[in-house]
Amino acid sequence: MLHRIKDTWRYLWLLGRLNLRAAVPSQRMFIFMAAMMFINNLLFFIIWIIYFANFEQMNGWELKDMATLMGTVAFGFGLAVALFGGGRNLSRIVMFGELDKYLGRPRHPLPAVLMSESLPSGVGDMISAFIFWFVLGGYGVTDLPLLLLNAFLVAAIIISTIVLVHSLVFWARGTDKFSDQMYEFFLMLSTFPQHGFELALKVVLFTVIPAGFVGLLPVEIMRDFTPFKLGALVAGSALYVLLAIGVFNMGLKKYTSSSNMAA
Amino acid sequence: MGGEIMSTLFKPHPAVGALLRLGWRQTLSEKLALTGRALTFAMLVSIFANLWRMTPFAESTDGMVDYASMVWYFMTTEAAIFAGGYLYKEVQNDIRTGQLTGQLCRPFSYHNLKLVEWFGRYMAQLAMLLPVGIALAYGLTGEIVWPLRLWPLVLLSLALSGLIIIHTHFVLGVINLWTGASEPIYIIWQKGVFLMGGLILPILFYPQILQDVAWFTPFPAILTVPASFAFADAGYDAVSGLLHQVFWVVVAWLAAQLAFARVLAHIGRKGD
Repeated sequence: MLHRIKDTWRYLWLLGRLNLRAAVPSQRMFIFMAAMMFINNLLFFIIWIIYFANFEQMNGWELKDMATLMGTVAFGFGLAVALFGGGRNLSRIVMFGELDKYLGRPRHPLPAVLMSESLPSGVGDMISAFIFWFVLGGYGVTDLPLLLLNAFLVAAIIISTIVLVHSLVFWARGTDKFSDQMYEFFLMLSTFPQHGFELALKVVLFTVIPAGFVGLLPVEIMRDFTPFKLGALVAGSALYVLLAIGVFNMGLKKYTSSSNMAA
Repeated sequence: MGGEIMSTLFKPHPAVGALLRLGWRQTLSEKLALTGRALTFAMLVSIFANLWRMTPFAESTDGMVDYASMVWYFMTTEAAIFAGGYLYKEVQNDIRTGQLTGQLCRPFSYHNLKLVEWFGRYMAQLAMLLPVGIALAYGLTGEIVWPLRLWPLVLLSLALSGLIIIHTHFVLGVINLWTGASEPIYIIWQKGVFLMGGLILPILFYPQILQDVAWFTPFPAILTVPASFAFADAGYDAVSGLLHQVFWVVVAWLAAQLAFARVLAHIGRKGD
């Protein structure tokens, strides 16, 4: 068992390293793309700095809470696209029959599909998180383990959501653009304050669209830590990971039992 | 001579109409994508309406800005942004795949072809999004903040925004020829639009220095000007806004012409 886990991690590590290397033709380009994303995140945050300079707080949330939110989403999203950037192409890979080449491999195709592309800009996202947390949010080094734990769990939910929305293509062809939009919508929703929403909408954000686990719960954990809140985030991310794997497997079964969808 | 110039300017190439229709039809044919976009747009407006309800705007602007005008303002900025989309990617792909060089032998120049088709697409997106946005903003606020007499000007202003957007997207797309990727530059441009264009907050909330800087950039012409019709009751100067937009349309058009001339020179020198 231990050997199998070790073997899987080694496989994922090698896959990630290879794809990141393939995505970055030169070190200069890598730094350029990461730097642009870093600047991009900080530029966007100026809007919130201006907001809180005018109004001080938004229904109890202050600039620090927005910085927590942006940092957590930036790190989680950055990690997701830097290592698992291929997820954004999942529906197109299925639509054009490219999944076949992953099926011939001895391992489950999902990790290989997810890690088939790496976006260097994700590294810029991840670096910007530290500015959000430490400079704009005023957190100390002692807060880092909890901030990172939140961000890793958020990354798992983001990756699961990519898989879920793009798996739609297994049942309905030509939904790639729709999936892109649903994913973008989820991300967009995750980066805005959700604490003022009505209960019904909050229920939706913790079920149908898991944006509440990405943009609300991590901030609430940092505002007022309770083991229950952290447990809810851990459980939520585990649930979405299992759901994504389950839905993908169902889709895969359908794919392998029918002929090439592109044909 | 003068007559020739006037006829060139005011008698468009027969392909223009066909390309506009092509862009319009292409957009409307993507029904699922369009529905997804309209849903996202509607949800975003609803989310911000919720945030604006929690914000005491009237207190900090002596009543000039209130909940209703902010919802309409935001709906308009988002409509322009959503209608614009990611057009630059097409030029980027055409450069990467060498299709741009292949299209140079056509009788209608590549850049004009793209620009006209994109404008058709922008207008089609707007035609779908705006009714949704207007209905939603009315449903959320119970008010229509644009006076009836200004509606044609709002539409004109949004069309001018579209012209600036498509021309700048063209420039962003061809930058790929020199940088190898347009995305990083586009991302910065996009955030410039968001921040200096006043996507979320009108720039009147910004520190004075930032307001002054913003008006020297094209960004307010893209978003602030059409969205500020929401403040018509508070004495918004629509004519100055439109003139400001026309100025930036001309600048963006010149930039696109110049960029395409550089592309031709580059291809002539080095191939694709």
